[in-house]
Amino acid sequence: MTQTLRVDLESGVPHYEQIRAQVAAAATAGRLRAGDRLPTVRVLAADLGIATGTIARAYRELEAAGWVTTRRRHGTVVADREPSGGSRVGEAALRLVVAARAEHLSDQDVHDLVSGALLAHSVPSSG
Amino acid sequence: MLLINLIALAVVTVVGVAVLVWDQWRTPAPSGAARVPKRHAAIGAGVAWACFLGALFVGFSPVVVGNMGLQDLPLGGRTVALVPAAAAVVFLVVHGAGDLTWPRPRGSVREARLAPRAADDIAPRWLHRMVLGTAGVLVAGMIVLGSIADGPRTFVAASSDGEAYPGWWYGVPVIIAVLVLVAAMEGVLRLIALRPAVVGVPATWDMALRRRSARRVLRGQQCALALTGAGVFYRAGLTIARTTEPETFMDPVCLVVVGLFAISAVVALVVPGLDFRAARTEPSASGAAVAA
Repeated sequence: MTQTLRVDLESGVPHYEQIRAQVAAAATAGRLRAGDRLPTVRVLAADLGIATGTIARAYRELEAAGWVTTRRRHGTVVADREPSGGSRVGEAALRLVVAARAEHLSDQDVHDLVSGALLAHSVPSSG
Repeated sequence: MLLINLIALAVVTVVGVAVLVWDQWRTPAPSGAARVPKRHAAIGAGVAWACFLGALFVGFSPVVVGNMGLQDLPLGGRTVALVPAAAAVVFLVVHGAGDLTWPRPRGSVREARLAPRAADDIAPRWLHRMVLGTAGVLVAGMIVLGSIADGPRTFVAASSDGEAYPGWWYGVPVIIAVLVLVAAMEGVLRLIALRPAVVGVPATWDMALRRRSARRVLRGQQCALALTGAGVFYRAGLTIARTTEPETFMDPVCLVVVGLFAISAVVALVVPGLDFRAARTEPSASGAAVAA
């Protein structure tokens, strides 16, 4: 089944970040598998009606994080990547989501919980 | 000439309206959002085909008038040989304009499917290959005809009075026209692949609309190439038969080639496109949201 990307133009989150996050989430959830081809920058820009530079930046960020690779003849494909932090963190995230679903929490509530946890255990800046 | 042009205008209008009505009648619209792009595609195709047929009619009407002896032929043979290619260029320009003005995504929330698509995905493979093959045969045929010619416009120089022959004088512009047509066709197919996807409809429906557009472009190009090839080889066949003693084998060969070009055009036009069959049988094949 084809995955659909949604970009909210009025959101405070930058457009490239929305795209990056959704592709990374789809790859993490296994909806995009290693070797799956992504649409070209121009196709995705035309479908979303946003600038090609925005899509190119999202793809660059994904490539830098190891989620995708760009090959000359195959375009942008999903990379074979282990989630950062290993399987323990992934399993913990899965348990968190299962617990949130059981408690009927909304996705935004889960995001807020994770943001709060990240803030409480923030990494001190080196600068 | 005025009467002929008026008749051409009437034919163009009737054909254009008929294509629009036929297109609207046979295309299912799964949602209200599909009506605008469906109408846009139908209008673009109707105008493109009407311009193609109108250009052919206007281009060839002086030839008909000249053959009827009503007046001297105002066009040279080389110009006549390029009429189908010129009509095909008009056809491609109109089609390309339709794809460049395709309805843009609107609203604050935009959607796109994470599925790649390219010109190869939307063009019916057999038809695409047939058009490219026809172009190759036409170029090769012009090279062969030019190679066996005695002069740029003659097959046998000593008896060339009134017997035009498609040598290099005709061959070079025809070859250039074929190469330009193929390049322009690939460009328009790329535009069709790149135009924004229709939102709110199953992916199969959007792909079917693209495949139909690509099929129309390929059909138009096949007609133009086949018409050019048939005309050139018909002229060559007549000249070779009249200027060769005893009659050579080339004349029937040319006529067979003419027949093959004509058959290829008929096949391209007659074989129906079943692009919307999958869309009819899988109405709920829409994408699944990645977004949480």
